[in-house]
Amino acid sequence: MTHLRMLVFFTFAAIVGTLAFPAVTSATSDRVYGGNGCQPNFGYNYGTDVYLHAGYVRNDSTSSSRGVWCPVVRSELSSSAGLNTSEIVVYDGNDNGAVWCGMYSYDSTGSLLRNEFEVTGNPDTGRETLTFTSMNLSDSTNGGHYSVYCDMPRSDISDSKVYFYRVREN
Amino acid sequence: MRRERRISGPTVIVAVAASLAASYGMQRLNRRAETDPRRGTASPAAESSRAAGPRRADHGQSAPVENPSRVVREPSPRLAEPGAQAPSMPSYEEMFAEDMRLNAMRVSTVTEQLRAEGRDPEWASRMEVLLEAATSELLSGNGRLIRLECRSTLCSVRAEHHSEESQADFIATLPMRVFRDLDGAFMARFAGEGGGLETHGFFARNGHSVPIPEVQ
Repeated sequence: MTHLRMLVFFTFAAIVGTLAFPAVTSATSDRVYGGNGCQPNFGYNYGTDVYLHAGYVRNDSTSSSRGVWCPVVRSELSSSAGLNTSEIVVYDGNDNGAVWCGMYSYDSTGSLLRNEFEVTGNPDTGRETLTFTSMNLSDSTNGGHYSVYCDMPRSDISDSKVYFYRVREN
Repeated sequence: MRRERRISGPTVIVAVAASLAASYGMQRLNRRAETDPRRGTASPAAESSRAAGPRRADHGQSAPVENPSRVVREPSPRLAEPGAQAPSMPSYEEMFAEDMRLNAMRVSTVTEQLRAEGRDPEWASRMEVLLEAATSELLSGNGRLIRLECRSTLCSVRAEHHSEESQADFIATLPMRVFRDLDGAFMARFAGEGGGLETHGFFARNGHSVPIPEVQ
């Protein structure tokens, strides 16, 4: 009888444990990065009027759009399932322009395997979330990596910004 | 007379703790099985991802494309468990060589697909003008355009570069210039016949994707 009761206790505890730990064992990496981790692009749409602040990066130029590259950490090295839906939260401060962002997937040679671009609505201004759905690295060896690029239009009604971005690795 | 045995408090605590630990361990094992390609059980998401063929940059607007071929590679090392010694990564030279080999196969496969397409004169001409303008500007003083061709859903751009930096800028920037008209770039770096730096890029018509073979 004692053994039977122990068995009941073990079974009950196993069920409790299964319900208690699922978040701990998630197979994905879900990370949020601040826009102030981005750096000005030293090529296309380069300019010194990109400012980093606690919580965002903005384009202060009243004459030109500016681009920034933003880092993405890849930690699920064994996974070939790529990225889950990822998001970039931006502020479009220009009536006639738009914030557009690209997500890039590179291999170890620097070859571009895939990309996806998303654009804010135009002529709307304000905060928007750009959603990326088609990125993966299933074609890459372990040196494969991701990058985010965002282009902010010239300052108009207000400065355009990249607040933060969320990247989920499968 | 029957003697009733009661389970003591410490026994219950030990039993619950052991069960929680066992449950946690089981889930760790399941996770390992999902992410380790050498094991037979893949997650449903991973299975559906493989079954769907190449990923698309067209937001699901078009039908899946039949995978023209598959590229086989060695299983990847797994990320180390906490506290465990990290598995050794392949050397950079090994990774580089493997990716160069894979890219040569991809370029060959996509080129065959492009050549098999008929030409849509209106679309192809418009995209060739767009790509020529963008490449000319980007390559000005930095390299030269070797070949540019569009058919009905694919365009091919082949360029030579004077430096690794200008090649990297070309690969990053050309897709930015044309993304409103062309989807999903694949741009491979390789050594040209004379040992120079060359890029062979492919772009797809809106609603299509570049059919690069899936790696397994």
